[in-house]
Amino acid sequence: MVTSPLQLLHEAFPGRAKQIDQILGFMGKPWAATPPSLLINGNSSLGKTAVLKATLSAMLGGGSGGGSNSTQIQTEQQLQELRRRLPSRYAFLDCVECHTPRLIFEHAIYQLRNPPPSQDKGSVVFPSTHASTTGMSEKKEAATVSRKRKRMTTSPLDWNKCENVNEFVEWCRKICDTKDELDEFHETHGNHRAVSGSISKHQNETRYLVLDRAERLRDTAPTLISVLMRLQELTGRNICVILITTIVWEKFRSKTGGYEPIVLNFPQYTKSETVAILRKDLPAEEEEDLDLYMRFVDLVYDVFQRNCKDLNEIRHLVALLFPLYIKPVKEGKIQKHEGLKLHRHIQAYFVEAMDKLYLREISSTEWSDRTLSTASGSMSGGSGSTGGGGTGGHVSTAPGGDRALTTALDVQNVFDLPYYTKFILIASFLASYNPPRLDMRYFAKVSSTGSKMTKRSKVAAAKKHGHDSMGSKLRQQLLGPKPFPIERMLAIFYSILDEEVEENVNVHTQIASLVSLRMLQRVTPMDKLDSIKCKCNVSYEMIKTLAKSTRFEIDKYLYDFS
Amino acid sequence: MDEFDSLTDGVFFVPPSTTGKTTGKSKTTSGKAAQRDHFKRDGFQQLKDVNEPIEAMEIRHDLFNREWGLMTGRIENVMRNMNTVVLSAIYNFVHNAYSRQSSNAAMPFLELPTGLIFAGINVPDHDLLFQQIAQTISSSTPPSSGPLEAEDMELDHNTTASASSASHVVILQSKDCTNLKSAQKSMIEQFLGLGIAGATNPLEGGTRLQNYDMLVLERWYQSLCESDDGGGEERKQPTLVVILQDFESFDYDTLQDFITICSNYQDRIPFVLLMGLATSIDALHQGLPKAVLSRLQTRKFQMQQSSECLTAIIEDLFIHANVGLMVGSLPLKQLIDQFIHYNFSVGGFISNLKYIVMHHFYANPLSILCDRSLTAQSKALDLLTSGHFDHLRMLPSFQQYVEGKLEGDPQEAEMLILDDEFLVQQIPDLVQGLWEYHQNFGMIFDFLWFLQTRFSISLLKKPKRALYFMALEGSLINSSHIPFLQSLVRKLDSNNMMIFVEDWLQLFKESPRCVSKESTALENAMDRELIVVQSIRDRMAALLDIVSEDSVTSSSEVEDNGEEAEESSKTLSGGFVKKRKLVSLNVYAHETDGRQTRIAKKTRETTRIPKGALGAYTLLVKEIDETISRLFRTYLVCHTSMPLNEIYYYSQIAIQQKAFLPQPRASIQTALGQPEVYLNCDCCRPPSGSAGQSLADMVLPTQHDTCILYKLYVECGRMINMYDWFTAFGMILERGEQPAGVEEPLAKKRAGAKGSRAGSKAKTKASKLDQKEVQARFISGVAELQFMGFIKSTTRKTDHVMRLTWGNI
Ligand SMILES: Nc1ncnc2c1ncn2[C@@H]1O[C@H](COP(=O)(O)OP(=O)(O)OP(=O)(O)O)[C@@H](O)[C@H]1O
Ligand SMILES: [Mg+2]
Repeated sequence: MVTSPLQLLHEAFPGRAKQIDQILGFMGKPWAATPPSLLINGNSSLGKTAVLKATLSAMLGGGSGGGSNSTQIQTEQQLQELRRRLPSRYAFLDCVECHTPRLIFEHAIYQLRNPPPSQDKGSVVFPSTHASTTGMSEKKEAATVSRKRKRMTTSPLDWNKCENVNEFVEWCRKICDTKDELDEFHETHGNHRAVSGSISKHQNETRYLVLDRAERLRDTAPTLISVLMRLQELTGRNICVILITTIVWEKFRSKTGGYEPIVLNFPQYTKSETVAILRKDLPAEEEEDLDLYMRFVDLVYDVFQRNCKDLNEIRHLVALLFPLYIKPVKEGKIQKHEGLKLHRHIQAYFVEAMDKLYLREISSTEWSDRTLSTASGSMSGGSGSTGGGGTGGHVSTAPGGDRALTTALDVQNVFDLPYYTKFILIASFLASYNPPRLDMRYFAKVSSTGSKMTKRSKVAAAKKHGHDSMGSKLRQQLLGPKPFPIERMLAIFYSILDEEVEENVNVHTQIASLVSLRMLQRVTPMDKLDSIKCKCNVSYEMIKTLAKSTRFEIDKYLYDFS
Repeated sequence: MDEFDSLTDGVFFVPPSTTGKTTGKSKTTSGKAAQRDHFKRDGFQQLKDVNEPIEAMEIRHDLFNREWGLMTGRIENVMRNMNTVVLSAIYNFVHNAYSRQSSNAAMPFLELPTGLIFAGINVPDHDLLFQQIAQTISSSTPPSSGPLEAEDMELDHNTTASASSASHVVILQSKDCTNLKSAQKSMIEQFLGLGIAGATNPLEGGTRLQNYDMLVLERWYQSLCESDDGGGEERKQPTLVVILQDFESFDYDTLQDFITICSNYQDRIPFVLLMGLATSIDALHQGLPKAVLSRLQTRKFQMQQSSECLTAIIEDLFIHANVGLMVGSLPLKQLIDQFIHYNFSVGGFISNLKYIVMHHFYANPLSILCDRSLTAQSKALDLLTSGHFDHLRMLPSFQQYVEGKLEGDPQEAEMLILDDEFLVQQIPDLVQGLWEYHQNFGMIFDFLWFLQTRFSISLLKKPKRALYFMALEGSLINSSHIPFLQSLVRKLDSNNMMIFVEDWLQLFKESPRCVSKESTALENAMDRELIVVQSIRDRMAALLDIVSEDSVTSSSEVEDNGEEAEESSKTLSGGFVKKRKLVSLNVYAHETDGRQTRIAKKTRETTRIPKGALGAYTLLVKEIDETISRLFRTYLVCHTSMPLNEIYYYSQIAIQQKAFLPQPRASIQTALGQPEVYLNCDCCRPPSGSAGQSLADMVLPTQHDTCILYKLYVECGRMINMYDWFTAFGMILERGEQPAGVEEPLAKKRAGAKGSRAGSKAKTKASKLDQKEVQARFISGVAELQFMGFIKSTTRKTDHVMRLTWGNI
């Protein structure tokens, strides 16, 4: 069966047929003039990158062969061959990676002067022919394959320096002007003569410059945006800029105005589209469970879609939860058709997945290790593994079964601090959340004057707040930590300590190390050494556990806190 | 003096001059030479008070080097052993990172394998740790396994070491990664082995790729793969490991981009990330957005807690007495306190320890005897001078020893005091005795620990460090802890008692003290104890064997046993009765643990002792109890009762405190308030009339300008009027000008402190004090105070400065 690249594309990206057609329409014939720029926007993981990359590589990168009749097949194949060999017609840049204009320029030039990255069948970006069913495992192999293939095709690096826009424009001209076999091929086959007529006689194939995550450009090279928008005009050549971004074009616009790109929006997937995409994730070896899988996907979508619109997240969840779902079936405990039973079986995992997996509190491997070992534990009765003793107790990788892992997880969420450091942190918390005017009341060691102070300050506090502390809008707890001078914190520190501690240098190094651990946040700039101010960056829960471990009654000292 | 006049240096190193103060100018050349020698021996000097020969000093120096070398070696070893399990887990993680993915749960997209290494909050210590990790990973074999080699590490162990080619590792620290560019640059440079910034990439020749361009790395990686392609297709490709050492200190935006880039390149370069987290996983979740987090496939590794490391070090060095110099209770307490209270820093502990060792060998003349291998032939003994003997005889433990002798053998006591020769002969024996003591102590301490772990009642459990500390203090054998443990032993029922004795014997047999020796001459006290335990066990076994033969369980016996239990529980205070269950539960857990000794098996079947054997059994239990008690009493005695222990135990803390718990504020205040403490000058004597006043309260014109200003400052309020301050200052200076006698030293001192003013000073000698000079000195003094943070200029009041410190010191 012969399929056209277009069909393959449509197949590879369910729910994106319209957008693919639009992009192809925008591109037109390889040599046809295009509008100067295109902006593709849409939310995260809606396939913007994947679709565009696949489309470009199918059309311009010699991605895959195929045609509708036999003579065409021949020329097509010839074309593909050429495309693979000749300098690429497009450059695909990631603006996170190319974080300076120079990097953008040089990478673009480099890609446009070298053959396109080889896209073997089943490669990462464009799963073709039979890839539709073997989805994920294929991709992994593909990654290694493409790694290997890349090696073969390395040519001595031909790198060109390009530091500014002018040079870049010059380079673009040069690149667009080089006529190579492909252009000649088009001419000899005369297939564009008819369409383009005499005007585009010298016109070579269109070059595309794709900038992924273009929103980064606004920070890294703000002036470059308007230049790119009119790159076609500046060069006077057949070159087209495509920006891919998650934000709308309005946020790119500069005050001075400029060319507007054509905007193509990738809409959110509907349920049926999502399900169709997920359908492709089913590993080939489990094809016979397709029914079950589809039922499961349906279920997951219904359960999670309210919280999680992100396609990748759902795929992630499905991939990790499905093995659990079908396990009882495989073990013969539950029959395939007993939907309700299965549902009940998986329900417990859903809850856990919701608060652990989705938040990445545990990673995919940890999840699968864990669920695997739970299973094996339940099989063998799970009581025998108390051994091991105190020797290697909290090594996270010790295969001590489910319980060991959970405890390892819990262990890592609490960590120990040196004794005085705990108090420094507590003192900082107090300094951040208590108003300074009440310090006397809470921390003054002399009690006789204290009682007097208490009354007065209480009155003052009440006056200031106007009304009772309960509903006060100015509660520091709600406002977040306030910066405090280090001296104040130290004074509190020495006052809340039971024993006499002489001021020494270690206290200060501990403050510095707390700052470097981001538990204290320094608000004065680094070059200012005088009167440093900090904020306490730690949650109430953590302070509470710290206070508990030092037997310090924090609640007694906190003002207006609950 | 010239060399200290530099404007740019803040600190000067002044080595102690070997020629004393009194030696004249004539000796300067020899002094210079001596100074050179000085550094050859790390600053060791001959101790004058004992008239030490130079060889003795050399011995001390050698001993120091040997001792410290031994300690560092052992410490490193301990640290490595502590982490072997985790290290090998990390190793496996890295090496399987890219082979695992196909076997484990298939994910719809590539995730970046990321190890999260929880390394404890002391960040400065991490340098060493991460270097160790890097070393481990880049070596081609997994770390030599400790006792529990990660049993069946992963389920997917299939593709390990066989074809692994070494990974390439780089360590990125936040200080090198202030922005994305520098982070990439640092990574690339390290991977490519470009040591110095600016060196051109050897691969690219003349091309002008920027050094933070990921393409450089990609190219390099490709060439790497090509160059070792000989292994064929199977050969695993090297992974590139990036260690982010101090995650919390990184700029999170940079990190975010950095990770994104690595994950983008993952299809071309197999990256593995290792992140060092000092706090908890929350830091990761706070620092990175969801989009980045979801690209990571994390796995957590908990490094050994530093307090455990500390305990292990103390155990290895001191409890088991593997080193010569021990640390007494006070300094040890300080070491531990500093660790627990301030920093959790093993590195800090080590440097502190080094200081102790240094000080011991540097300043204690008797440290030439601090040598494990001291024999009667040792050179050190020949070098002892009469000064040494005096020191020896002044040691409290020695006096105690002699007093002890007084009754039994008065003649020997006399000889010890009067006869140097005799003393010399005795020394090796005494030293040997001490060594014996250490070894026995270590073993019995282990036994104590064994007892404690057996009855795991968390409430009453004492950490090893605490137990050892008690032993050092001498309070261990009289503490209630030991009787308590003994009572628990007594309460064991016959099965468990048998198991216990069996284990006990095992412990003794395995201990290095008791391994079988070639000759009986080497037999020691512990071997004798072993025999005692052995005999107890044999008798016990025999007793129970008889029982097992006629294993009948009648109801009366059950009662009997019940009675016994009641009895023993009565001996305990009421609170423990409840815990009893817990204890026995625990012991059963031990039992089911899979120990398969013959006796244990048998005893499980036979549970009751017949009436006839009960008497013998009770006797045996009593004997066990007494043996335990005797072991502790004999071998866990405090070291201070051992003669000559002072040579082996460092017990000072003052100098250590000064070095490791500096109090900058206090020192500045002392320097300003009582400069004579530091200056040791003669000029600042209190005037004869004011005997009652202490020097600290007086302002003397001979003192340094800043001190004068400080003393005036102390008496001021919150705001200080500059003019008043100035006038007061001028008056004090003038007071100093009147008597001509003090002029000379005063001028000299000023010249010393502020060399430049010497000339002008001489000129104004005769005339009244020059106002301009007073003003200049005032200004410079005030500037100094401001620099030290005592005052601050303010706009609130004209001509005033604000006072920043409180209290009248
Ligand atoms: N319609 C689709 N059919 C098949 N796979 C899809 C489809 N849409 C997205 N995907 C897959 O989802 C993953 C995420 O897509 P992609 O990276 O292209 O999203 P994106 O829009 O570029 O997101 P971001 O804005 O975060 O960069 C890819 O692996 C892609 O193959
Ligand atoms: Mg994208």
